[in-house]
Amino acid sequence: MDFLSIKFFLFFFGAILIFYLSPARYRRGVVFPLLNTLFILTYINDLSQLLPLVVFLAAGFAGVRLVEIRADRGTFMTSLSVILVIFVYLKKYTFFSFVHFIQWPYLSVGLSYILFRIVQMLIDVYQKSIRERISPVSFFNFCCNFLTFVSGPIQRYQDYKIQEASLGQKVLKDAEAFDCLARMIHGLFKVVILSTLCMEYHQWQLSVIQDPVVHPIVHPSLLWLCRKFIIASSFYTLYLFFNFSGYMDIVISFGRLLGFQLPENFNRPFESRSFLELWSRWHITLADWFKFYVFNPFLSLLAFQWPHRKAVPYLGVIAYFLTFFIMGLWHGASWTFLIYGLFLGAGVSVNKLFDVLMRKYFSVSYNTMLEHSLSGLLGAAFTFMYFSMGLSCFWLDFNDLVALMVKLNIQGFGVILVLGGLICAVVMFLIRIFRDVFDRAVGKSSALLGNFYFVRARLSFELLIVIAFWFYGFGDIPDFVYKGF
Amino acid sequence: MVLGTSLILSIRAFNMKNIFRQAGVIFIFFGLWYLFFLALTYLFYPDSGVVDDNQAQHGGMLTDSIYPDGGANVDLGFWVSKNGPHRIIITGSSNASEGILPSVLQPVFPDFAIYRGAVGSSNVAQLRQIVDVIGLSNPASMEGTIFIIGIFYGTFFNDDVPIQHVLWKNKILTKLQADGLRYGLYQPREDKMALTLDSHLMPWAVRALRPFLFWHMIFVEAKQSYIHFWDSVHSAMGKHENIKSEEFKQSSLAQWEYYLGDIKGFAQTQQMDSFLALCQEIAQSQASLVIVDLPVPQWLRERSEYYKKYVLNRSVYLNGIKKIPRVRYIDLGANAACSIDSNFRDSSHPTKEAGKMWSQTIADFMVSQRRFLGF
Repeated sequence: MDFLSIKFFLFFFGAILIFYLSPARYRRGVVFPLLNTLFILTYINDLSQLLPLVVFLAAGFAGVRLVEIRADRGTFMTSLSVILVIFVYLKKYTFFSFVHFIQWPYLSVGLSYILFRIVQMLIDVYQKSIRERISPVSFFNFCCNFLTFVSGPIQRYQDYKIQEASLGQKVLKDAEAFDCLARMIHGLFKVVILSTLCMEYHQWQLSVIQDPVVHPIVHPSLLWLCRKFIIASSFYTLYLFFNFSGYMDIVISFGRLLGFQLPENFNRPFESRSFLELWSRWHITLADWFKFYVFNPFLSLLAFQWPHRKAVPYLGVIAYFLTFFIMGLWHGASWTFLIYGLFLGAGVSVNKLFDVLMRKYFSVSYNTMLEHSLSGLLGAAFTFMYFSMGLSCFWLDFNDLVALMVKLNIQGFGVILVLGGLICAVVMFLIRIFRDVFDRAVGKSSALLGNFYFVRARLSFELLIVIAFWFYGFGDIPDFVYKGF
Repeated sequence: MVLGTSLILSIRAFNMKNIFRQAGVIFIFFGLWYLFFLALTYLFYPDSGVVDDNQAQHGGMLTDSIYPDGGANVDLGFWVSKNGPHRIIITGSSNASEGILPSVLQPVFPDFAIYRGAVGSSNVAQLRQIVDVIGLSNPASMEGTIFIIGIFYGTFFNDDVPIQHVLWKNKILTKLQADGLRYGLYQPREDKMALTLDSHLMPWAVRALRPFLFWHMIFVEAKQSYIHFWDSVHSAMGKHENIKSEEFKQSSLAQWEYYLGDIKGFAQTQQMDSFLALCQEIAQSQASLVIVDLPVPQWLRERSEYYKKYVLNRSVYLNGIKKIPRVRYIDLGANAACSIDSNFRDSSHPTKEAGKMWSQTIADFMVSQRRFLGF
């Protein structure tokens, strides 16, 4: 099912109707699993396409149940290994191209996010953070919750369970219902209009970059190529943000209408003053999951191996690198994402190392240093540019990426980071001024802007523009990007 | 227990009522906006059933200028067919759109409504689809229509070359087909576009879409203004001088090689025959046809293998065309004034001034061939 289709929205509004019309006692055990199943079925043409997903879920449930029964290290490690092997097999990682993968088309949407949920359950059951026995229905509802099936947000089982228990018991007032619908329309605006415009501009620049790479007859100057790369990569980052956060707005709003309080995934990410801070603002639930279930165990393990208090900050640097390297790898089953992993790992570990050294030699933390408005602005600009450079792994295939890296060389990357960072700083500065002026103007006319009719008129106008643009951009509106992960 | 159940039931009803009440209010406001823009379109573009010539020239929502970048418009078939027999339809690729201007032709042919139905990067297959769409709503209206088809060597590439394709639901469609799908009024059936509604419902469907078409026009105009703005900035900075450079020429030749695909499959007899068949079908439908062979820069004629192959092979359709009544051919490339390098803003599109000159030459030619074209 396409995300931007009438079918998608009919399904969600239909789900609300069915959910509220059904008797409360059937909601958790019958209606919710039924809706989840129906949602998954919209993605397939043939039932056989479901088989790998069913196997993956069955293996996951068996693993969790085994660990519940025998919570020893061997059982846990075996279960975890089996799950990871099945996942890698189903995702057809290029690194294992010597393996004979399944050739017929099957449903792979949602697999990556189901992996997080299963691994989380395994770890928490093993560590006794989950003490209750997980029923098959709860396991299925948690892993295949239609609200979060495609790409999160990633929720912990314990949090999910609390909400599942109170489904349909939460009062939804008029104002909250309106807020949800308004956020949904804003989300559509982001996905349909803003992300499309950014993608179109990105592709335009990309074609200009790729031509000289594809056709070696033309040799543009390094500065020219850097300039084009800065624009293409920046617009891709904006596209990704609008696409992903817009989708999250829609999903979180639907969740709230049903009584689910799904966690937020974005919090003004481009205001992050450092690469470390970015990961507390961008794809928050993914970063939190990795910090909780990968970083912490890694750090504990390293600290256990080298039990010196002074070494802990440096061990943190290593743990950060490994965590974000794995997170990068998770994004895709090709060599490109190996580079992405290295890029993320390098970003956070250098950031952390800088912080450690600042504390050691100047007794000041990196964050304190960034509190000054100018350094904060520069920090945000360089963070954006560095992140945008890394995201080029999303829009270039391995060969093109290598060709471009060879063409740019270290000198080129330096130019991109410095020049791009400075340009971003200027743009961010202008946006801040504009926002201040706008906020002041809004403050003066808050009575009008808060008026019941004005708010609804503005929102419905936004909806009309979204539909008009959806027609206009037919065939060019990008699908939800994280569906592929 | 009873109290708990009734509490949950009341929450359920309360929540659902609130959700649908709020959604209802938003949709009422949405409906008001819809009616407002519908009324606005009728104010500026009245639905008289006949498209005003003046509107056709200045660009209105019932004309091709909704798609000034060359895309054929989904309601073109409907509106053009309503306009009666006196019409001139310009089609071809984007260089036809920029090189054959209604504003120049209109004073010469005041009794005709002139439309631009060109689609960027069209090959012969897509030209056929454009003609199909235009004749689809009312085949009888083809009589008395004059088609001007602008062709050049870049028209004769194979159907499997990706430049003209859009991937939609795992189907490969031409740009025109994708355009037809946009508002759901057409759907691809084999290699043709078919109406999704009964033809007598089409006017109502197009009317219902007016508020969205209005915004479509605004989006397109905004995009064009943006492009023109940067174009003029680049002009002022002297960047257009770049087209004389050897680097630009080499890059253009490489791009054309990429766009037109393998030269072995390019400009083959099959494509020439298809074009000839299209010309014959237009003539059989009682419409007239002017084929304009559009010029390309001198440097490209000397260096492009694709151009040379086209010139060698075009005799296939040229010999056939001479035998078809109501079909006339003009080679603007043979006109020295039309084909000098300074007439081009890139490797195929004319400058504004050259576009006017080309259009005037075509208008003069059509007047001279008035007797054969049947007006």
